[in-house]
Amino acid sequence: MKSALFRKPALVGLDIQPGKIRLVQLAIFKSHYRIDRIARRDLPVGVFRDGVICDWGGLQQELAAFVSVCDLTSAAAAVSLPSHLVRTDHIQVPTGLSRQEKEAAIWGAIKADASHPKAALSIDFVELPADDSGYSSVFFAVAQEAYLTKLIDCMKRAGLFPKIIDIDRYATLRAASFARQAQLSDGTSALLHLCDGTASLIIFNADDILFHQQWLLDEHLINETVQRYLDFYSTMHPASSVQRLLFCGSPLHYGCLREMRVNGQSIFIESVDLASQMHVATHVNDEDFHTFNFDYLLACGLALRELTPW
Amino acid sequence: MVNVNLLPWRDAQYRYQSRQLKRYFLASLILPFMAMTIWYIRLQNESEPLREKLNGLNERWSAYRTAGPSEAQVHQEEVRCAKIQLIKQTNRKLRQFFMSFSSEASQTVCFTRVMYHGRDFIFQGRTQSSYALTDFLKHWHTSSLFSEIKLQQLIKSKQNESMQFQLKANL
Repeated sequence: MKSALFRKPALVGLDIQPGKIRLVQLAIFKSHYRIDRIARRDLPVGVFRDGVICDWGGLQQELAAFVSVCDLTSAAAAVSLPSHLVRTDHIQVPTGLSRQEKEAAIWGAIKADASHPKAALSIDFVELPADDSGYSSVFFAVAQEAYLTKLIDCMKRAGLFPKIIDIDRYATLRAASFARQAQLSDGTSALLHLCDGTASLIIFNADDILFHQQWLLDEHLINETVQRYLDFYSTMHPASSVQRLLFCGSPLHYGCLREMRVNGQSIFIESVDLASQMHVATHVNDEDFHTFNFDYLLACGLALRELTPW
Repeated sequence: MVNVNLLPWRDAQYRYQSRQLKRYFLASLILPFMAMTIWYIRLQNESEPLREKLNGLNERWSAYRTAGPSEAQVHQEEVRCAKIQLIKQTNRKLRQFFMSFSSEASQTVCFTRVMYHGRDFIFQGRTQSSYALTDFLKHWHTSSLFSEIKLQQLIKSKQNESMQFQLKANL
């Protein structure tokens, strides 16, 4: 009775990728995260085109069937937008501005280099901790309102209750940081995530993502491509040196990685194992998660978001 | 690391907080009202039997005031008053008897025992002769307290010349 009354409701992380939907449901159990459900479903060809959902009806049908099979009707869900559909940036504003003043400053920054009308965009912003200069940095993210509305409608019609719309690279990084939480608090690190024939390289520090690149995976060129992007980053940011490379992918691809060098020095390559940090409920296919947990990194990162009451 | 939510969550948060505020305000109004209502109902339930009892008593009092006491009650009251009067009279006579009895002395009559039961006195004693006893009774002031004095026994003693007597008197 007590657990039913005071248990935190679970948030469902839904990763919609071209060709596949993945779902992770977490629960907090004895101050640890426990995976209560993992599931995946193939999407028919034609739902996505150029990394963007174009067949909303088809996606809704597949999603509704998926929700029905998983018995998650009316569950609160977090979903992500691909990074190429969201513009993120930072602006400097005087400290102590109201919400409306910050939004006006953000709209001013957007208008300077965009032709979208104000009503057609959806924004969110986070004020970063200020220093003594009297100015604080505001991080903002902007996406097309029309695409967001279609995604929300699609989820609602499929029986889900969208609570959070995140950005994929932040959700991926959240899960990776959770898996290796103690080691990432200082310095600059890189995360290489391989999933569904796509490679994603995220270079980040404790505060923000510094560099992000995504490309179609070629198994024979993994090492060279990653090294090329690391060199590119080092050239662009000579003061910031990548100290470690976190790898999240299949062991086969891990074997393809050889020595990585940044500014002439080799860096550590470490594997991220999400399964080591999370308990798995007894009814969940434990072996499946331990073998393919790198596939569920984004869905886990979405499910790790705090479920707010509003 | 920043947490982004592209849904209009700030508006939703504002609406949620407004709803919560309204709920707390309503609760602050409704809860005291409910508590007072429950308290009132409880007091009503407790006072209802007392009120009924009071109404019964009032009805009986009104009926008593309008109808007055019954004949049996009047007779019972008269009997009770008569008994009280009798007890008072008896007590007064007893007090007079003991005061006068101790003050009168006789050379010819000697009381040896006085018994008292209800309103009857039994006097036992000795006398020199029946004449002496008759003379004593004529002049005995205490005899005025009694309604009747009977000589029950007068026996000549064998050892000496005196006579033993027993008188019965009613107060």
